[in-house]
Amino acid sequence: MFLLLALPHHFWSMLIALRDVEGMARRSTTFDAVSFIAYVLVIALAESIFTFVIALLFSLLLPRRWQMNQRILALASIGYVVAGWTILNQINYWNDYHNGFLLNWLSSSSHDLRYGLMVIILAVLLVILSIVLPVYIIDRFAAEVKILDRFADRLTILSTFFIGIDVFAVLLVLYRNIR
Amino acid sequence: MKFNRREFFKFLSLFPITGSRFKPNNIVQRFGQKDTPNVLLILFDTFSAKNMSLYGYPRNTTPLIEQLAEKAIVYHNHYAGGPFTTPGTTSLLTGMYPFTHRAVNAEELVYKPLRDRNIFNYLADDCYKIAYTHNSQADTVIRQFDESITEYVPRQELYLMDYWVNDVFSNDFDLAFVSVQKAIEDLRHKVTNSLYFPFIHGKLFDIKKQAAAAPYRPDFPRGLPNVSGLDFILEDAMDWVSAQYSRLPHPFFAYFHFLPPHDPYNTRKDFLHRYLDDGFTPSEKPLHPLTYNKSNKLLLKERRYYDEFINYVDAEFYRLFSLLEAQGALENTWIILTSDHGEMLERGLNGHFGPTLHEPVIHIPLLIFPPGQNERVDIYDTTSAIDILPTMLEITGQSQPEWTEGMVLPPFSSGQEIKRRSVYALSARINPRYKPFNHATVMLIENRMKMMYYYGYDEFKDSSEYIELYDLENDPEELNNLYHPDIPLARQMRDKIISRLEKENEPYN
Repeated sequence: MFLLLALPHHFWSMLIALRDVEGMARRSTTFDAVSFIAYVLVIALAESIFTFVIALLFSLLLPRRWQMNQRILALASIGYVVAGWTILNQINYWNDYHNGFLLNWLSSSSHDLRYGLMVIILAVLLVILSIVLPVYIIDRFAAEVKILDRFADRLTILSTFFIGIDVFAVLLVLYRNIR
Repeated sequence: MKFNRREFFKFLSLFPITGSRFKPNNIVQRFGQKDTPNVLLILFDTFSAKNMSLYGYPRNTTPLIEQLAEKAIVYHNHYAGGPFTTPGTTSLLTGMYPFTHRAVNAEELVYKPLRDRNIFNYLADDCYKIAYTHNSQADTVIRQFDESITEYVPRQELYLMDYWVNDVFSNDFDLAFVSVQKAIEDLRHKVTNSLYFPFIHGKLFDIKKQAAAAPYRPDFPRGLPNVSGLDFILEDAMDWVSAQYSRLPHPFFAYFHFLPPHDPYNTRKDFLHRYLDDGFTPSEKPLHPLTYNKSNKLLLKERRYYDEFINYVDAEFYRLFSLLEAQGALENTWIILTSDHGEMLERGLNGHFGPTLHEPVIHIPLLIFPPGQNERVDIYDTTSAIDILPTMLEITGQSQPEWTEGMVLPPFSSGQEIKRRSVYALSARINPRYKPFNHATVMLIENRMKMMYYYGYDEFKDSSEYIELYDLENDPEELNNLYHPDIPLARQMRDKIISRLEKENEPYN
């Protein structure tokens, strides 16, 4: 479960870091640029551990009759959906750090406040539904659970690569701070 | 034990590429005591000469510096190399124009083959060289000269809050700070590497910040002076400078670069509302073609806040001067007061990130207090930040390198060459750094005639260039644009700028 939960954090961290690393290398040294990636990965690792702990606590709420793989899949699904929405939220602010795309669109359109509130309520309902739906599927559809299980197993390979690089990142950060 | 293919990949991935060779940075040398005088260069960021009463500004913003000027050489027409920290500070520290050093974009470095051309490198080896800055852009500028600096004091030394990054990553604060900022608190973009930590960190940071600032908040109703949210107190900085005099081995060269009066203009309560309804109205100036369309009301308010912040800087510099005087420092220490650039609060533009090089953003103060000086000397020649390096070498008895583009300032030189010279400044913030300048503004001053040559801006659809020409002697507020292509002087100055650009661009074509 940890490997599954770690993936979105590392994926997003690396994606954003690559946006900055070229500028970092130009302004400083290549070593600093690599070290910057290391710091970012260490933070992603810490965040993965944090998410894992939250997921463990959350697992206490799941039905006792569920198998281990159902529990892992349900928690990972929630983790992915929440991460997905958070990423979308960040993209919403991309290059527009005042209000974000949605609020800007609403304020620039000719619709009244009631329409704006309805859009926001619909967005909140969509978020809730997107979290509930995978849990429902995992509870009710055994065949789909098997497919998800196999898919999750493949994702863990990718995640393990990231964790491997994390070890290197931790060592690099330690080196920079104890030399 | 058997591995299947998938498990083998998982196992393999635990061994990332290793073998990088890391070389620790240099070390600190200690120098002995000597009778040679010290040099203390105090730079206040974003300090426009146009807003100082010392230079004739109607608001009495710098009454105490005016008192100190009675013991100083006062330069009335001194110019920065560029309109913001990176080019401005780099020109000061290297004695080269931005054309040459090429640190023209924010956080950019000097063109690598020229990086050893800096004041720290060319001062005598037995001089203890120390540097400090509040400002992150100036930090990048200074850090590249690390090998020539005896002691580079980390920025966080004078920040108010004990920032957790400093506690956890004390040996690697700067990179850790940048990484953490980008990863979990990129306030500018709200796009961060981390998904959830920004929410948690933001709340915790605010709580801690509020607690650290609490004792000072009554004194700073507009908020504390800060750099990217990290608060500092100018009083602490001045006390710290004063303490350095007795701590450092002599002779020393100290470059101390403080953020005020850079925005946010969070002045102390003693200076608050000092100019509210004072009846002063700056000359009305036309909107610039590259205007941000800032309203006059906003610009007047920002100007008042800025002036009140300058008034605070004035008081603190005076206090520092008194502290140094009490220690006898004025007997053996040259004190230089200057800035890296000014601030623009007119023509619909605010701040110093605009494309123009009007007086408020490029005309900066320069006062030199030689040891034992008891009278005021006024210099009206046009001088530049690039003159600081050759002048410092002159007053400390060093030879002049042939590469410097600056001149030894009067009265330390005859001043004859200075009178005939041309002074340039450059704004090329979004021009690629080591590419020909094809999107820039160049300033040229000759015999008090000032030309600003803009080219490559999309806003000027009908022409690739736009030119302003002012007679600073008779029109110091730059109200009357004299440019006309038929005027011989205008043609001559334009040709001079173009030929200079062609020459400077040649290696990068």
